[in-house]
Amino acid sequence: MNLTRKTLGALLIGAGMLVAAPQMLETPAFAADGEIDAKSKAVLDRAIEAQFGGKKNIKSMKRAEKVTIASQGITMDVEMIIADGRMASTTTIPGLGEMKTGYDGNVGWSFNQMMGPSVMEGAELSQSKRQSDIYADLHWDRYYTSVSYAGEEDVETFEGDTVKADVLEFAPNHGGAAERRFYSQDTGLLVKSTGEIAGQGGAMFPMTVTVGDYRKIDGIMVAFQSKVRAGPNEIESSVQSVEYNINVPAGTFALPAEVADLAGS
Amino acid sequence: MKRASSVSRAVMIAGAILGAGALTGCAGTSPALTDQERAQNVESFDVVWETVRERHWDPDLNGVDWDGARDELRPRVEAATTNNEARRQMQALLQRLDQSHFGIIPEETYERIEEEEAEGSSGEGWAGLDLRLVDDDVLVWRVRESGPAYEAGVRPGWIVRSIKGREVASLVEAMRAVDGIEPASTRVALIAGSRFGGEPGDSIDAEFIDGEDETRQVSIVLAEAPGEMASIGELPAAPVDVVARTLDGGIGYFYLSIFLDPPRVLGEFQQFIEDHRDAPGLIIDLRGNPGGIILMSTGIMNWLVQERGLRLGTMKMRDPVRGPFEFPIMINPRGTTFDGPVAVLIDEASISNSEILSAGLQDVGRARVFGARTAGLVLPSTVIRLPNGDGFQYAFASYTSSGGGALEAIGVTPDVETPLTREALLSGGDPALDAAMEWISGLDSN
Repeated sequence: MNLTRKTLGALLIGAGMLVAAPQMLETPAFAADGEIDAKSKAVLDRAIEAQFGGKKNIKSMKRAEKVTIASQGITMDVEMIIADGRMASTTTIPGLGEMKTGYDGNVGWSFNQMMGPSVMEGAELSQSKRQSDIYADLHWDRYYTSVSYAGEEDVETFEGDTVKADVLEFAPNHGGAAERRFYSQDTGLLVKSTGEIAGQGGAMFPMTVTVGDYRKIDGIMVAFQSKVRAGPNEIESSVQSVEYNINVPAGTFALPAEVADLAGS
Repeated sequence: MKRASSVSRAVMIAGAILGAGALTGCAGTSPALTDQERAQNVESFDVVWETVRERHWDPDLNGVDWDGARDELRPRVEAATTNNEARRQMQALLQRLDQSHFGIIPEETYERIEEEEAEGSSGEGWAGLDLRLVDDDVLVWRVRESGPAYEAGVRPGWIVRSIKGREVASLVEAMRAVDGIEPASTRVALIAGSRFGGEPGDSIDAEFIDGEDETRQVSIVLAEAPGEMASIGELPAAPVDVVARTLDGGIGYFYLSIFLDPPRVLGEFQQFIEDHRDAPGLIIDLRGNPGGIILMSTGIMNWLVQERGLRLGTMKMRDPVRGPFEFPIMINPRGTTFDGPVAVLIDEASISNSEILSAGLQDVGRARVFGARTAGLVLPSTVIRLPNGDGFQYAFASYTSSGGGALEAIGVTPDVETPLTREALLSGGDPALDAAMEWISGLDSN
């Protein structure tokens, strides 16, 4: 009755959100600090254009998802708010309770009754910062040291079709394995990625994420479905709603008291 | 709704019959095969071989020449003239791993599982007693005061002779004969205990030898189990019973029947800690606890461990793309921990997460463990059905405690072993609890 798979599933929710979260393009230009080859830049430019078109000025977003671990019969609700480089997420799992995580612009944290209060460090903190950045792909060099073109591959999409995809490799600035992203040559949109998500204690969990069912919300293409495969675990995520430029309630990004004590100690 | 206990029982029975099935296979008495059955056995062998190759957490498969094993054994499956011969080859393949939780469960034994389940609980009734194998006898070990067994006059130390007309001695003999993963004492405790199951209001007839060595026929009318029902995912609902109280000398005592319902249970544990912050010591009773949600272990340890950066343990799995990876389970101390002595009570029916928690506390030097060695059943495993109808059980992750030791098939060895005796139980004693209280009291007086 060991529930490790469920735990890992909960941890991997972040992976699904990481890939599926819309990244905003202010202008299709990149900072010059990191290394990116011309082919990669063209693929990434196209992806950003395909996803965001001319949509600008997103300051905040709220997203609700249902995440299912079919093999365990578990469906959980995830709500995430991002605004001004800060993030707050609550995962509600029937039978387990609430699991909260966030980034307040300075401290990345997680807290729940089972895992206790935790302040993020290293790769986990770096990934949390990136997840809190709506414009992350615009200034990718804050999170990656380089982007390189790794050829093209046939990829099975979420819908079960096979498409030709351009493969880009993103080298995380916190080290570790490169993240590989697969962009459809037909649509320019992301269809798959492989990489690692950081956990506590320096753990790095491998994952493969396939996304699909793109729908346009306020001019932005949002992948409404994703499938995460990590080790023996398979997790599906379905976006329920996405809202942009919302009114963010006061205190949304405040640290829980025990986390604040920990962060201050 | 069935209880988790019935799930545990099914797993235990499956494990027991796993060995029995192997023995049955050796007997070679199954009928000759049709061409279709032969093909299904070969297909099943391939599924077993592929599954282990792809899902085992160690890509080196514990150093086994897996291709060589297939080349050697697959032709034998093709040539097998009975299902038992074919199964024996699949079992031989898995035995090369030299690890537990890998085995073939013959299709016929599913019928036996169903039969055993029918003999055990199928409802939410509760008899209010626990059984343990002591030497050759199944003894009443714990009787919940004012529970159905107690009201029927049953007391600790009584010998159970039969339940629902079935001799207990034959169960003991059968469980000792099989070459399963679990200790016979664990299997007997769970299976015999489950025979006192049923629906509330059901009457269970049993024969005992009482404290005066007199034979007693007793009918126990089942009641609703104490605790609140809880479940998660596909896990059937189970009553989650928590007992938090203060023993003599102000020692705090916390009993948990199963690791479910973390919002309520961990809330109650937090309250228990706050109520006993100045206690001379705490006792956590995990005897008979079949496990559950692993992170509830950290939810408890976080209140007992001050030092940051410690691990409860590590899971190792394998990703199909990236290969092996580790999943450390971290301890994140709460703001105000309990820093006094902690004793943990375990026994042969402490399974899975109970073992993980007790080993975790033992490894970081935060608890002294009393009782009997645990079951040694900590690997996450699953069972799938093969094309030939047999079951195939396989583990998909390994677990090591923070001290680096594997618990699987070994269990947790208590710091202080407190063997159960009929005499102690008849006189109202609880050797593990008594020893733990004595230890804490001794520390306090110093």
